Amino acid sequence: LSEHDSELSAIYRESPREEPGAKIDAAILAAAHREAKARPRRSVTRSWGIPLSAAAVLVLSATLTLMVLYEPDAPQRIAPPPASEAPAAKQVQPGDDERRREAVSDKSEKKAESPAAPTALPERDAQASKARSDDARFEATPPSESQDKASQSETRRAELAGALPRPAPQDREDTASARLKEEMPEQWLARIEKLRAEGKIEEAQKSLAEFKKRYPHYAVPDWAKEE
Amino acid sequence: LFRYFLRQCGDRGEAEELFQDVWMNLIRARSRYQVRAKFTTYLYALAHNRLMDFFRKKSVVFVGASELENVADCTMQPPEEQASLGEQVAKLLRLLQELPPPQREAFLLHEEAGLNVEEIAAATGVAKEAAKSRLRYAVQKLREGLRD
Repeated sequence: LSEHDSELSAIYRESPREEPGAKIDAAILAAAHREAKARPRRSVTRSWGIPLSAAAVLVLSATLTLMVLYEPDAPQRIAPPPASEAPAAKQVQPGDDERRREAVSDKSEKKAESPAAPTALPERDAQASKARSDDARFEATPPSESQDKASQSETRRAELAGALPRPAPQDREDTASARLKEEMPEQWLARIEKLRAEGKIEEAQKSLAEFKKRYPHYAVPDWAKEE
Repeated sequence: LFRYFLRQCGDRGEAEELFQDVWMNLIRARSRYQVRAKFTTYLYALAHNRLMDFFRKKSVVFVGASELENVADCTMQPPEEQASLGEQVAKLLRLLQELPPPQREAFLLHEEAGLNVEEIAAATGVAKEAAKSRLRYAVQKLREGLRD
Protein backbone atom coordinates (compact mmCIF):
# COMPACT_ATOMS: atom_id res chain seq x y z
CA LEU A 1 0.00 0.00 0.00
CA SER A 2 1.57 3.27 -1.13
CA GLU A 3 0.90 6.96 -0.50
CA HIS A 4 1.32 7.66 -4.19
CA ASP A 5 -0.47 6.20 -7.18
CA SER A 6 0.73 7.50 -10.56
CA GLU A 7 -2.41 6.29 -12.37
CA LEU A 8 -4.61 8.09 -9.86
CA SER A 9 -2.46 11.23 -10.18
CA ALA A 10 -2.79 11.11 -13.98
CA ILE A 11 -6.56 10.93 -13.75
CA TYR A 12 -6.63 13.75 -11.19
CA ARG A 13 -4.45 15.96 -13.43
CA GLU A 14 -7.14 15.67 -16.10
CA SER A 15 -9.61 17.37 -13.79
CA PRO A 16 -10.53 21.02 -14.54
CA ARG A 17 -7.80 23.52 -13.67
CA GLU A 18 -9.99 26.24 -12.22
CA GLU A 19 -8.42 29.63 -11.59
CA PRO A 20 -9.59 32.50 -9.42
CA GLY A 21 -11.25 35.47 -11.07
CA ALA A 22 -9.14 38.23 -12.65
CA LYS A 23 -10.48 40.74 -10.10
CA ILE A 24 -9.13 38.67 -7.24
CA ASP A 25 -5.73 38.43 -8.89
CA ALA A 26 -5.65 42.18 -9.53
CA ALA A 27 -6.63 42.99 -5.93
CA ILE A 28 -3.94 40.75 -4.54
CA LEU A 29 -1.29 42.19 -6.87
CA ALA A 30 -2.28 45.76 -5.99
CA ALA A 31 -2.05 45.01 -2.27
CA ALA A 32 1.35 43.43 -2.78
CA HIS A 33 2.62 46.49 -4.70
CA ARG A 34 1.30 48.86 -2.03
CA GLU A 35 3.07 46.94 0.72
CA ALA A 36 6.27 46.67 -1.29
CA LYS A 37 6.36 50.44 -1.93
CA ALA A 38 5.63 51.24 1.69
CA ARG A 39 8.60 51.89 3.97
CA PRO A 40 9.87 48.60 5.30
CA ARG A 41 8.79 48.25 8.90
CA ARG A 42 11.32 46.84 11.25
CA SER A 43 10.22 45.52 14.56
CA VAL A 44 11.59 47.22 17.69
CA THR A 45 13.31 44.05 18.83
CA ARG A 46 15.07 43.67 15.49
CA SER A 47 16.19 47.27 15.13
CA TRP A 48 17.35 47.66 18.73
CA GLY A 49 18.26 44.06 19.46
CA ILE A 50 21.91 44.16 18.39
CA PRO A 51 22.84 47.55 19.94
CA LEU A 52 21.11 46.63 23.19
CA SER A 53 22.85 43.27 23.33
CA ALA A 54 26.24 44.88 22.72
CA ALA A 55 25.60 47.49 25.42
CA ALA A 56 24.50 44.82 27.88
CA VAL A 57 27.66 42.79 27.22
CA LEU A 58 29.83 45.90 27.71
CA VAL A 59 28.15 46.87 30.97
CA LEU A 60 28.38 43.33 32.30
CA SER A 61 32.07 43.05 31.38
CA ALA A 62 32.89 46.43 32.95
CA THR A 63 30.99 45.54 36.13
CA LEU A 64 32.73 42.21 36.50
CA THR A 65 36.14 43.79 35.88
CA LEU A 66 35.51 46.49 38.49
CA MET A 67 34.22 43.91 40.96
CA VAL A 68 37.36 41.82 40.55
CA LEU A 69 39.66 44.86 40.76
CA TYR A 70 38.03 46.50 43.78
CA GLU A 71 37.28 43.40 45.77
CA PRO A 72 38.67 44.15 49.29
CA ASP A 73 40.39 40.79 49.77
CA ALA A 74 41.66 40.35 46.22
CA PRO A 75 45.29 39.13 46.41
CA GLN A 76 46.46 41.50 43.67
CA ARG A 77 45.30 44.48 45.75
CA ILE A 78 47.68 43.69 48.60
CA ALA A 79 50.90 45.41 47.76
CA PRO A 80 54.14 44.16 49.26
CA PRO A 81 55.25 46.35 52.19
CA PRO A 82 58.07 48.78 51.48
CA ALA A 83 61.55 47.88 52.72
CA SER A 84 61.52 50.76 55.21
CA GLU A 85 58.64 49.13 57.08
CA ALA A 86 60.61 46.00 57.88
CA PRO A 87 62.24 47.31 61.08
CA ALA A 88 58.95 48.73 62.25
CA ALA A 89 57.42 45.30 61.99
CA LYS A 90 59.88 44.04 64.59
CA GLN A 91 58.56 46.59 67.09
CA VAL A 92 55.06 45.19 67.02
CA GLN A 93 53.63 44.76 70.50
CA PRO A 94 52.27 41.39 71.60
CA GLY A 95 48.86 42.97 72.21
CA ASP A 96 48.65 44.12 68.60
CA ASP A 97 49.57 40.68 67.45
CA GLU A 98 46.78 39.21 69.53
CA ARG A 99 44.23 41.62 68.04
CA ARG A 100 45.38 40.84 64.49
CA ARG A 101 45.13 37.14 65.18
CA GLU A 102 41.57 37.57 66.32
CA ALA A 103 40.76 39.66 63.27
CA VAL A 104 42.16 37.02 60.91
CA SER A 105 40.29 34.31 62.76
CA ASP A 106 36.99 36.21 62.62
CA LYS A 107 37.45 37.03 58.97
CA SER A 108 38.11 33.43 57.99
CA GLU A 109 35.10 32.28 59.99
CA LYS A 110 32.88 34.84 58.29
CA LYS A 111 34.09 33.71 54.89
CA ALA A 112 33.42 30.10 55.73
CA GLU A 113 29.86 31.01 56.68
CA SER A 114 29.22 33.10 53.57
CA PRO A 115 26.99 31.12 51.10
CA ALA A 116 28.12 33.05 48.04
CA ALA A 117 31.82 32.56 48.64
CA PRO A 118 33.96 32.95 45.54
CA THR A 119 36.06 30.15 44.14
CA ALA A 120 39.26 31.43 45.79
CA LEU A 121 37.86 30.66 49.25
CA PRO A 122 39.28 27.14 49.74
CA GLU A 123 42.81 28.48 49.33
CA ARG A 124 42.09 31.38 51.64
CA ASP A 125 40.55 29.06 54.23
CA ALA A 126 43.58 26.85 54.06
CA GLN A 127 45.78 29.89 54.62
CA ALA A 128 43.61 31.07 57.49
CA SER A 129 43.66 27.66 59.18
CA LYS A 130 47.43 27.56 58.74
CA ALA A 131 47.58 30.99 60.34
CA ARG A 132 45.50 29.69 63.24
CA SER A 133 47.73 26.66 63.71
CA ASP A 134 50.82 28.87 63.49
CA ASP A 135 49.30 31.22 66.02
CA ALA A 136 48.49 28.33 68.32
CA ARG A 137 52.16 27.31 68.15
CA PHE A 138 53.20 30.83 69.01
CA GLU A 139 50.94 30.85 72.03
CA ALA A 140 52.65 27.73 73.34
CA THR A 141 56.10 29.39 73.35
CA PRO A 142 57.47 30.89 76.59
CA PRO A 143 56.76 34.61 77.18
CA SER A 144 60.46 35.50 77.28
CA GLU A 145 60.77 34.93 73.53
CA SER A 146 57.65 36.88 72.69
CA GLN A 147 59.49 39.80 71.09
CA ASP A 148 61.31 37.57 68.59
CA LYS A 149 58.15 35.61 68.00
CA ALA A 150 56.27 38.81 67.27
CA SER A 151 58.52 39.60 64.36
CA GLN A 152 58.33 36.00 63.18
CA SER A 153 54.58 36.04 63.44
CA GLU A 154 54.43 39.29 61.51
CA THR A 155 56.56 37.87 58.72
CA ARG A 156 54.46 34.73 58.50
CA ARG A 157 51.24 36.69 58.52
CA ALA A 158 52.54 38.86 55.72
CA GLU A 159 53.38 35.71 53.78
CA LEU A 160 49.93 34.29 54.37
CA ALA A 161 48.28 37.47 53.17
CA GLY A 162 50.19 37.11 49.92
CA ALA A 163 52.29 40.25 50.48
CA LEU A 164 55.53 38.33 50.26
CA PRO A 165 56.32 35.69 47.68
CA ARG A 166 55.84 32.21 49.05
CA PRO A 167 59.00 30.11 48.86
CA ALA A 168 59.12 26.73 47.20
CA PRO A 169 58.94 23.70 49.57
CA GLN A 170 62.71 23.08 49.45
CA ASP A 171 63.48 26.76 49.85
CA ARG A 172 60.96 26.95 52.65
CA GLU A 173 62.90 24.35 54.67
CA ASP A 174 66.18 26.19 54.12
CA THR A 175 64.57 29.47 55.03
CA ALA A 176 63.06 27.94 58.15
CA SER A 177 66.38 26.56 59.37
CA ALA A 178 68.11 29.85 58.59
CA ARG A 179 65.41 31.74 60.42
CA LEU A 180 65.78 29.41 63.39
CA LYS A 181 69.49 30.17 63.59
CA GLU A 182 68.78 33.83 63.05
CA GLU A 183 66.23 34.08 65.79
CA MET A 184 67.97 32.12 68.52
CA PRO A 185 71.66 32.99 68.60
CA GLU A 186 72.17 31.54 72.08
CA GLN A 187 70.88 28.16 71.00
CA TRP A 188 72.93 28.32 67.85
CA LEU A 189 76.06 28.99 69.90
CA ALA A 190 75.13 26.18 72.27
CA ARG A 191 74.85 23.83 69.32
CA ILE A 192 78.26 24.95 68.02
CA GLU A 193 79.74 24.38 71.43
CA LYS A 194 78.18 20.94 71.49
CA LEU A 195 79.70 20.18 68.12
CA ARG A 196 83.11 21.20 69.46
CA ALA A 197 82.61 18.99 72.47
CA GLU A 198 81.76 16.08 70.22
CA GLY A 199 84.95 16.65 68.28
CA LYS A 200 83.26 17.91 65.14
CA ILE A 201 85.65 20.80 64.93
CA GLU A 202 85.41 21.46 61.23
CA GLU A 203 81.63 21.54 61.28
CA ALA A 204 81.67 23.73 64.38
CA GLN A 205 84.08 26.17 62.75
CA LYS A 206 81.93 26.32 59.63
CA SER A 207 78.81 26.97 61.67
CA LEU A 208 80.59 29.56 63.81
CA ALA A 209 81.80 31.38 60.70
CA GLU A 210 78.26 31.47 59.44
CA PHE A 211 77.08 32.70 62.85
CA LYS A 212 79.65 35.52 62.89
CA LYS A 213 78.70 36.47 59.41
CA ARG A 214 75.07 36.59 60.46
CA TYR A 215 75.65 38.32 63.80
CA PRO A 216 78.86 40.35 63.42
CA HIS A 217 78.23 42.47 66.55
CA TYR A 218 77.03 39.68 68.82
CA ALA A 219 79.04 39.29 72.02
CA VAL A 220 80.30 35.75 71.52
CA PRO A 221 81.92 33.75 74.36
CA ASP A 222 85.71 33.58 74.68
CA TRP A 223 86.06 30.15 73.05
CA ALA A 224 84.29 31.54 70.00
CA LYS A 225 86.56 34.60 69.86
CA GLU A 226 89.60 32.36 69.63
CA GLU A 227 88.32 30.50 66.65
CA LEU B 1 -4.13 27.15 -3.83
CA PHE B 2 -7.45 28.19 -5.32
CA ARG B 3 -8.26 24.61 -6.30
CA TYR B 4 -7.23 23.44 -2.85
CA PHE B 5 -9.97 25.68 -1.43
CA LEU B 6 -12.43 24.91 -4.19
CA ARG B 7 -12.14 21.14 -3.76
CA GLN B 8 -12.50 21.52 -0.01
CA CYS B 9 -15.45 23.88 0.27
CA GLY B 10 -17.06 23.28 -3.11
CA ASP B 11 -18.22 26.84 -3.68
CA ARG B 12 -16.37 29.10 -6.07
CA GLY B 13 -17.27 32.33 -4.27
CA GLU B 14 -16.14 31.01 -0.92
CA ALA B 15 -13.01 29.55 -2.45
CA GLU B 16 -12.15 32.96 -3.93
CA GLU B 17 -12.71 34.66 -0.59
CA LEU B 18 -10.48 32.19 1.20
CA PHE B 19 -7.88 32.44 -1.54
CA GLN B 20 -7.79 36.25 -1.29
CA ASP B 21 -7.68 36.17 2.53
CA VAL B 22 -4.67 33.92 2.55
CA TRP B 23 -2.72 36.10 0.09
CA MET B 24 -3.63 39.30 1.93
CA ASN B 25 -2.57 37.81 5.25
CA LEU B 26 0.66 36.69 3.69
CA ILE B 27 1.36 40.18 2.33
CA ARG B 28 0.57 41.85 5.66
CA ALA B 29 2.64 39.40 7.67
CA ARG B 30 5.60 39.35 5.30
CA SER B 31 7.92 40.96 7.88
CA ARG B 32 7.34 38.03 10.21
CA TYR B 33 8.14 35.45 7.55
CA GLN B 34 11.26 33.45 8.30
CA VAL B 35 12.76 30.93 5.94
CA ARG B 36 12.47 27.71 7.87
CA ALA B 37 10.94 25.46 5.24
CA LYS B 38 9.75 25.55 1.65
CA PHE B 39 7.62 28.60 0.93
CA THR B 40 4.86 26.33 -0.40
CA THR B 41 4.68 24.57 2.96
CA TYR B 42 4.35 27.94 4.72
CA LEU B 43 1.68 29.10 2.28
CA TYR B 44 -0.36 25.93 2.67
CA ALA B 45 -0.02 26.06 6.43
CA LEU B 46 -1.68 29.49 6.30
CA ALA B 47 -4.29 28.08 3.94
CA HIS B 48 -4.97 25.13 6.23
CA ASN B 49 -5.47 27.44 9.22
CA ARG B 50 -7.81 29.68 7.25
CA LEU B 51 -9.80 26.68 6.04
CA MET B 52 -10.13 25.35 9.58
CA ASP B 53 -11.51 28.72 10.67
CA PHE B 54 -13.93 28.60 7.78
CA PHE B 55 -15.11 25.08 8.69
CA ARG B 56 -15.43 26.06 12.33
CA LYS B 57 -17.67 29.01 11.46
CA LYS B 58 -19.80 26.98 9.09
CA SER B 59 -19.93 24.00 11.45
CA VAL B 60 -20.62 21.85 8.40
CA VAL B 61 -18.23 20.22 5.97
CA PHE B 62 -19.71 20.10 2.51
CA VAL B 63 -18.44 19.87 -1.04
CA GLY B 64 -20.51 21.14 -3.96
CA ALA B 65 -20.81 19.45 -7.34
CA SER B 66 -20.39 22.59 -9.47
CA GLU B 67 -16.76 21.81 -10.17
CA LEU B 68 -17.73 18.65 -12.01
CA GLU B 69 -19.61 20.47 -14.75
CA ASN B 70 -16.77 21.10 -17.20
CA VAL B 71 -14.83 17.92 -16.67
CA ALA B 72 -15.20 16.56 -20.19
CA ASP B 73 -14.26 19.85 -21.91
CA CYS B 74 -10.69 20.05 -20.74
CA THR B 75 -9.36 16.74 -22.04
CA MET B 76 -7.40 16.24 -25.27
CA GLN B 77 -7.96 12.51 -25.67
CA PRO B 78 -9.62 10.76 -28.63
CA PRO B 79 -13.45 10.79 -28.37
CA GLU B 80 -13.82 7.18 -27.25
CA GLU B 81 -11.01 7.48 -24.66
CA GLN B 82 -12.16 11.00 -23.80
CA ALA B 83 -15.49 9.71 -22.63
CA SER B 84 -13.86 7.04 -20.59
CA LEU B 85 -11.33 9.41 -19.04
CA GLY B 86 -13.98 12.07 -18.48
CA GLU B 87 -16.04 9.54 -16.60
CA GLN B 88 -13.07 8.54 -14.54
CA VAL B 89 -12.26 12.15 -13.67
CA ALA B 90 -15.85 12.86 -12.71
CA LYS B 91 -15.92 9.70 -10.62
CA LEU B 92 -12.63 10.61 -8.97
CA LEU B 93 -13.85 14.08 -8.04
CA ARG B 94 -17.03 12.60 -6.65
CA LEU B 95 -15.04 10.09 -4.62
CA LEU B 96 -12.84 12.91 -3.43
CA GLN B 97 -15.88 14.70 -2.03
CA GLU B 98 -16.81 11.57 -0.12
CA LEU B 99 -13.46 11.32 1.61
CA PRO B 100 -13.15 12.47 5.22
CA PRO B 101 -11.83 16.07 5.19
CA PRO B 102 -8.36 15.28 6.64
CA GLN B 103 -7.79 12.57 4.01
CA ARG B 104 -9.10 14.82 1.24
CA GLU B 105 -6.83 17.60 2.40
CA ALA B 106 -3.80 15.30 2.45
CA PHE B 107 -4.58 14.12 -1.10
CA LEU B 108 -5.05 17.70 -2.38
CA LEU B 109 -1.86 18.93 -0.73
CA HIS B 110 -0.03 16.07 -2.41
CA GLU B 111 -1.60 16.50 -5.84
CA GLU B 112 -2.18 20.26 -6.06
CA ALA B 113 0.73 21.64 -4.01
CA GLY B 114 3.17 18.81 -4.67
CA LEU B 115 3.94 18.38 -0.98
CA ASN B 116 5.47 15.17 0.34
CA VAL B 117 4.43 13.47 3.56
CA GLU B 118 6.75 15.53 5.80
CA GLU B 119 5.57 18.77 4.23
CA ILE B 120 1.92 17.76 4.55
CA ALA B 121 2.54 17.04 8.22
CA ALA B 122 4.18 20.46 8.66
CA ALA B 123 1.42 22.32 6.81
CA THR B 124 -1.43 20.65 8.67
CA GLY B 125 0.31 20.56 12.06
CA VAL B 126 0.18 16.81 12.58
CA ALA B 127 2.79 14.10 13.04
CA LYS B 128 4.44 12.61 10.00
CA GLU B 129 2.86 9.23 10.67
CA ALA B 130 -0.61 10.76 10.83
CA ALA B 131 -0.07 12.60 7.53
CA LYS B 132 1.25 9.43 5.93
CA SER B 133 -1.73 7.44 7.16
CA ARG B 134 -4.22 10.04 5.89
CA LEU B 135 -2.66 10.15 2.46
CA ARG B 136 -2.43 6.37 2.23
CA TYR B 137 -6.09 5.88 3.15
CA ALA B 138 -7.15 8.58 0.68
CA VAL B 139 -5.26 6.94 -2.18
CA GLN B 140 -6.57 3.50 -1.24
CA LYS B 141 -10.20 4.62 -1.12
CA LEU B 142 -9.98 6.56 -4.39
CA ARG B 143 -8.30 3.64 -6.14
CA GLU B 144 -10.86 1.15 -4.90
CA GLY B 145 -13.69 3.54 -5.80
CA LEU B 146 -12.41 3.90 -9.35
CA ARG B 147 -12.24 0.10 -9.81
CA ASP B 148 -15.85 -0.42 -8.76
